[in-house]
Amino acid sequence: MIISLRSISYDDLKNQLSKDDKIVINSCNTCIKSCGIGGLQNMTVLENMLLADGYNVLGIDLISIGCSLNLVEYHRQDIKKKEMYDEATVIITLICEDGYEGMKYVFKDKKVISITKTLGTGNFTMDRGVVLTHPFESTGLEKNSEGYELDEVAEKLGLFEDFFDEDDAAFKDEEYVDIIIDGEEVSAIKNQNLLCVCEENGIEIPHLCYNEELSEAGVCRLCLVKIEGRKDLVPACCTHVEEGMKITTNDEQLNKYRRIILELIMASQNHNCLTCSKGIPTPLYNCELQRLIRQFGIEKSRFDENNEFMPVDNSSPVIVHDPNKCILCGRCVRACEEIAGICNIGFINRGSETVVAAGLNVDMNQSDCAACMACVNACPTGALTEKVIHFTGKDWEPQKVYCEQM
Amino acid sequence: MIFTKALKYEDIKKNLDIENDVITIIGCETCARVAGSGGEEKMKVLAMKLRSEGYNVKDGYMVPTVCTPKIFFAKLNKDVNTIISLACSAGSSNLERSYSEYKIIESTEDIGLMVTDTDKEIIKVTMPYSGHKNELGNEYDFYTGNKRENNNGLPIWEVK
Ligand code: SF4
Ligand code: SF4
Repeated sequence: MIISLRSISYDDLKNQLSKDDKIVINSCNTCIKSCGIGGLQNMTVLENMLLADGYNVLGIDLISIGCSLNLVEYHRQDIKKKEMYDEATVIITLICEDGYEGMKYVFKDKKVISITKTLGTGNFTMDRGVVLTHPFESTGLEKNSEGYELDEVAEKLGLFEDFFDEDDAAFKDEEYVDIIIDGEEVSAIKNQNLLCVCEENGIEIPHLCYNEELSEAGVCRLCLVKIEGRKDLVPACCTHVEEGMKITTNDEQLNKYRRIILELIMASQNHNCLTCSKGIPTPLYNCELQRLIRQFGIEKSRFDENNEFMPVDNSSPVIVHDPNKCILCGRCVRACEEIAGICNIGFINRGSETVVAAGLNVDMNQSDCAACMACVNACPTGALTEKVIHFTGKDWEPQKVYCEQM
Repeated sequence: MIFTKALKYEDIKKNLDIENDVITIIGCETCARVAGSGGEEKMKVLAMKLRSEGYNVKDGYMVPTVCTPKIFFAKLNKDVNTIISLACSAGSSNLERSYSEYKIIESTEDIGLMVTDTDKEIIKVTMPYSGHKNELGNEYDFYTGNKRENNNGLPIWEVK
């Protein structure tokens, strides 16, 4: 992976801006996110800082791989983002210096500001986070297989070891509302997503179709809650808090519904965890469905299991699509549209025949897929996974790891 | 992404011991595959060539990224003592650290950083490493690493 650190202070950034600028912040969602200076959360922090200091930020945009020029161009031309990008005069981009070259090309009519210095290549490790193993000569550092930790590199090279500090901006004057969740008084920012407010306050609501990097959909129905005065249950992931809301997130009736939904999902397809790379939870992967099934103590679905087996698509060199493990949450479809900027995958058919498919229902390797992995990272189950192949035997036959067949 | 070129077969072979090395090949599905120095086909060609000359190539693994803990998806055979890495040098360092008791053989050379166009399937070198400064702006085809005649497929700067 490519290793970068923040090279400018918040004041340096502000010195490059004027209050008349119309700013869009975008970020690559790959290496720079692992380096701790990119991704949705950091874009949101910077957006809030600049808004608090009186700058005009039009919006933020997450891009799966920022060094793929066509993907950046698709984001610029996206029907939902075009107006924002057209109006912008300044793009602040959270991307490595390599991607910055492409970003300047796609937005050549605008001022494009980078906040990073790219230092070379390295690894993501479980115990030490990101380490720099192959520094550029310009850093004056020697190659080091053990890897330099980023705080050490930052100190040596006079760079910043993390993202901008929110305390460096003015206090953002937000409008707060008082609400009651499960009998407890909670203060939240007006219009904040209810599911997020609950999580911030330590109240976990089961959900599968919501992912903070994606737009809200409300299709899995697991996060249904009760709101006083509302006729029926509402999905917390699509509800925005208002003054005086009284919410019940957890009672016998809600949990009964959630249990039935989980059992129906289990019965709807073959969720065999023994042949799935997400079957064993690790810090890199975990199956969100399996976690909820364990949490609810479900051992068996009371509904008849659908034993119809759909073919697994192994055609992509990097992705395995197993529709038998798909719960139709649509996260992949939204990821491909919103983060990849491609709309390569979507739902086809209707009712119980509905499946996720690429292009005009073609194999993944025949489709427009950019192998950006946004869909795989978004998928909460083992329906979309990264491919791992073991080559064995006299003829070097490929065999998929974690699956019975290739 | 990271642009690498495959080393010459002879340069890989000279680091191997035909008598004692029991080899697995680990390939990266990401940058090295796109750059044409890695990928499924390149792994097979190397394995078959080494086997035809009598090297003990036990098996191979293709993992999503060799520069992350995803290398542990490869479950090494107990007889293996040598790993040939079809990944960038950062990937090879990860192998060196994670499999310190094994002999790690690099099969690629880092050229620099690249931008791509996944529709046109073109690579452009934007930040070459020292020693490869003449590669700046050069363009290559996806998956083969073949040099393109002109460098104007992705005209991000004035064409060289
Ligand atoms: S299908 Fe997945 S990997 Fe392919 S372009 Fe869409 S999000 Fe990226
Ligand atoms: S493939 Fe995964 S992300 Fe896409 S709809 Fe199915 S379960 Fe959801």
